[in-house]
Formats: sequence, C-alpha cells, structure tokens
Amino acid sequence: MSGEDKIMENRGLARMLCGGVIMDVTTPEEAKVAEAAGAVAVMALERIPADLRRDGGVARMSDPDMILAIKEAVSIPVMAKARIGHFVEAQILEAIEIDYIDESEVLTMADEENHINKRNFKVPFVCGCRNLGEALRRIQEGAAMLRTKGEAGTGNIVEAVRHQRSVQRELRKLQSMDENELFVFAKDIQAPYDLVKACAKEGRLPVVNFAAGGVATPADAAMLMQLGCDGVFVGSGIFKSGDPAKRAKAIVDAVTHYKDPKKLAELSKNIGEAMVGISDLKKDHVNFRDREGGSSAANGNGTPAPHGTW
Amino acid sequence: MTSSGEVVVGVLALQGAFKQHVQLFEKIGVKATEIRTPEELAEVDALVLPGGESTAIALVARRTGLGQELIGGFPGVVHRNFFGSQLGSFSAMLESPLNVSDGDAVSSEAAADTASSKQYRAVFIRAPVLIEYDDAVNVLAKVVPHKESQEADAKVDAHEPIVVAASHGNILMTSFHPELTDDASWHQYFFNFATKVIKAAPGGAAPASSSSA
Repeated sequence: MSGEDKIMENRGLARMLCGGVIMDVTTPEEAKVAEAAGAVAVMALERIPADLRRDGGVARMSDPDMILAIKEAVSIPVMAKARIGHFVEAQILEAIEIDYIDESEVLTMADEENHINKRNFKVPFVCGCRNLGEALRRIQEGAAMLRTKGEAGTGNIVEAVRHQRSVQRELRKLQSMDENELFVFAKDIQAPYDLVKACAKEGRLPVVNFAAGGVATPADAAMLMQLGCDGVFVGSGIFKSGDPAKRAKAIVDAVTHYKDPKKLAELSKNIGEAMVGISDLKKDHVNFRDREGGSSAANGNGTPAPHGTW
Repeated sequence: MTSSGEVVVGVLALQGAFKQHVQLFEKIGVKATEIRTPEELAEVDALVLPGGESTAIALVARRTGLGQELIGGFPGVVHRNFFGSQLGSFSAMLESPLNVSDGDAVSSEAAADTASSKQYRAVFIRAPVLIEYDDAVNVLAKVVPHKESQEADAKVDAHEPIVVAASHGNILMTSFHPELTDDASWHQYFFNFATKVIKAAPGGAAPASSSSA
C-alpha cells in the first residue's frame, strides 16, 4: 500500500470519532468510567495536564506498561502522547500498538525545530493547532487528525475558542479569495500551497478538528461544537471535578445534542463541582499553547524560525 | 417525503461520520437530515446508520430513546473486525453499484473483466463481513481478502471472495465506508433502493442502511 493511501485511511479512521468525546485517563478504573459514559476513545497518560502544570519538571511519554493496562481495560481506541519531535517515543508507542499518537505540546518539547515526520508511521497522529497555518503544517507532516491547542489543564476555554475561531475565520477568508491570491496567503500563514488550495476548494480542513484545552462543562463542549469542531477532548475537566462519572456522561450527551439548549440545560444540572481552573492565563507561568517546532515563540529567544522558508 | 414526493433520508447523528453522509447526499441532490431524537426520526423515510465507535453509539442511543428500534433483522452471520486490527485497514476497487441491474451480484473479479465499467474505491476500516447468509439475501459486492491482513477464521476460506455489501428486504448494508470517498455512487444506489422499497410497500417499514461501525 502506498503512503498516500495510508494517510487517506488514517484520516477516515479519525472521522469515525466525529461527534464524540475523548477523555484523559490515568488508570484502568478511570478508563472504564470514560467508556461507560460513552467516550469514543481515551488518552492514557500518567499525569493529567492540570498536574503537569502544577508539578513542573520534564513531562515525557508515559510508561508503556501503564498504557497497556488501560488498553487491556477497555474496548474503545486508546491514544497516548509523545513529546513534540520525539520520534523514538512515537516508535515505541507504535510498537505497543497504540491506536493513535498525540504529538503533544502538553509534554516538554524534545525538538524545538522539527516535529515528528508522521509519514514514517502507520499509526494515525493527532496534533494541536492555534490557526490554519499551524493546522496545515501538521497535516503536511502526516497528521490524520487535529485538535485546538487551547490551554490544557486550566479549565479555561478562552484559548480553545480563540484557536477554533481563528481556524474557521481563515477558512472563510480563503473562500472569498481569488485563486491568484492563494500563493501569497499560503506564504503569509506559512502553510503548503497545495493544502491551502485544497481548503479553498472544499471550504474545510481535509482532516477532522476536535476541540481541546480547557473544556470543563457541557456548555463549553457544546459551544466549541457550535463553533464548528468535530468532537471534543476533555482532559483535566472530568477527573478533577466533583463527580467524574456524571460529568463525563453529561459532556458526551452535550456533544451529541450541542444544538439543543433545552437538553443542554438538563445536562448542566446537578453534575457536581467543576474543576477550579485558572482565570488569568496571561499571568500563568506555564504556556503549553505556543510550543511549536520551528517557531520563534518556542525557542524562547525571538530568533526567526529556522524553517520559516516555505 | 419532500413536496415533490421524493424520499427524505435521515442520517443517525449521535456519533460517527454522519456529516460526510449528509454532504454526499446533498452532492447528488437528495434531501438528507441529521437525526438525534425520536421526533426527528419520525420525519424521514429512510435512515443511514453511519460508521463510528459502536460502543459509544449504543450507549448514547439508549440515553436518547433511539435504542432498540435501530437494530434491524438481517438474516445472516456477521464476523466483526474480519480483516484484523486497525493497522490492517485497506481500500479495494469494486464495480460501481450503479452499473448493476437489480438482483445481479457483483464481485471484484467481475469488475476486473469489464475494464470499461466505472470502478468504486471502497475504504475498509476494522470491517465486519457477512460470512453466512440466507438465500434471500441479495449480494451486492465481494472482495478477496488480503492474505496477510486478515485474522484466520476456521469458517472462512482465505482465498474465497467474501461478501462486503448486501441487501435484504428494506435493509442495505456495506462493510466498507461509502462516506469516506468523494464518490456518491453508493448514496445514489441507496436512494434508488429506498425509493423502490417505499413504492413497493406504501406505509410499510422504512429502509435502513448500515455501514460498518
């Protein structure tokens, strides 16, 4: 099978998750709670983003043994995170037959210039994005699925909303452009021209884009669905809340019935306390969202991106 | 029905690749709506059950009051995840269903003989197949399994073509995902099928289609 076929199939595979919720879990017990609530997949990790923010230190791929114990516990797909650019962590995750790999900014970056060449793998990858340019850079590298970066572990939806609106706005902008203008637009957003052209033609991304990073309530999840997301990741929002099983179920149902305010009102009732969260993200000392290989924000010294020459 | 008497298709939109189904129906000018409640279900003439995470769909369906009525009766035995795990997903060329007159079985070998006929690229993902079925079942497509990718099953000869699309009564099912390509042939075929079933049995049961979940 050709590499291009594999990419198309992986994109199709990710479409099966549409309209669903993917939950962060740290134990087989939590994975079972997520599955029983109707999650379409779980993300197996040792520490959820809220704890990674608090603890600091280097955050790495989780112990394969811990991931496999979760895989054993549920029948839904299991995802796991590798550090940005850490292709050997990805090789290990592929070797233990994980269903999807998240090349995640929540873990410490392993390479500040390059992301993983995801075309070298058979397993599908999901990556974070803040805007259309970043989305298309990841797709070019082989990502089969995207999610907004948001700001994980904060229980604050503001960054996920910003990122989703940004992707949608730029897609709409492309719709109104003359085809002769696409070359410069591609250069401006630092994205491959062919993918820009395909987005202009279809009016949408070639892969699914989920909401992630700060979702804490059924209303948060439904808002991002109304903004055009294909599904939702919930990390710290569930197992840092007062009643995880109830909240997990409510968020799953909110993603299905995202257009029905009466149903959403019912789903928002009596689901226990939401995670406390962080309200002022700009003052917070942890910033996951600006971690991108090859970007000046990621290398921290404001020097131009080494690969900014598309 | 639309005001001009055309069949309206519903796509179960609890979870899964429902958007793509709706887009493909719209592409061929068929009215299609997303179905999330029993009330919405009552408004349509035919229903598509899209591929998705079947565990999640079943759970959400039960909580939505769409549980039991969606499970149709098909006289056959289905082997789930026949071709192996996710890394064993593949695509195969089939003859376009629109080239086939009613009742004719199509196989991928037959398609190879008629080079001029329009080919359809079918995408299989952790696909189930029909391994035993009643004589009344209308076989629509077969493929020869990949030797390496399938998990051996004593009931199935690895070299025999196996059934990946079939119809019976008011149900049409495919093991592949017709919503994952730009080709709307199977959506057109389903619309024609639904129209015929409804004309034959006015007031009767609505047709349903299921792709692999």
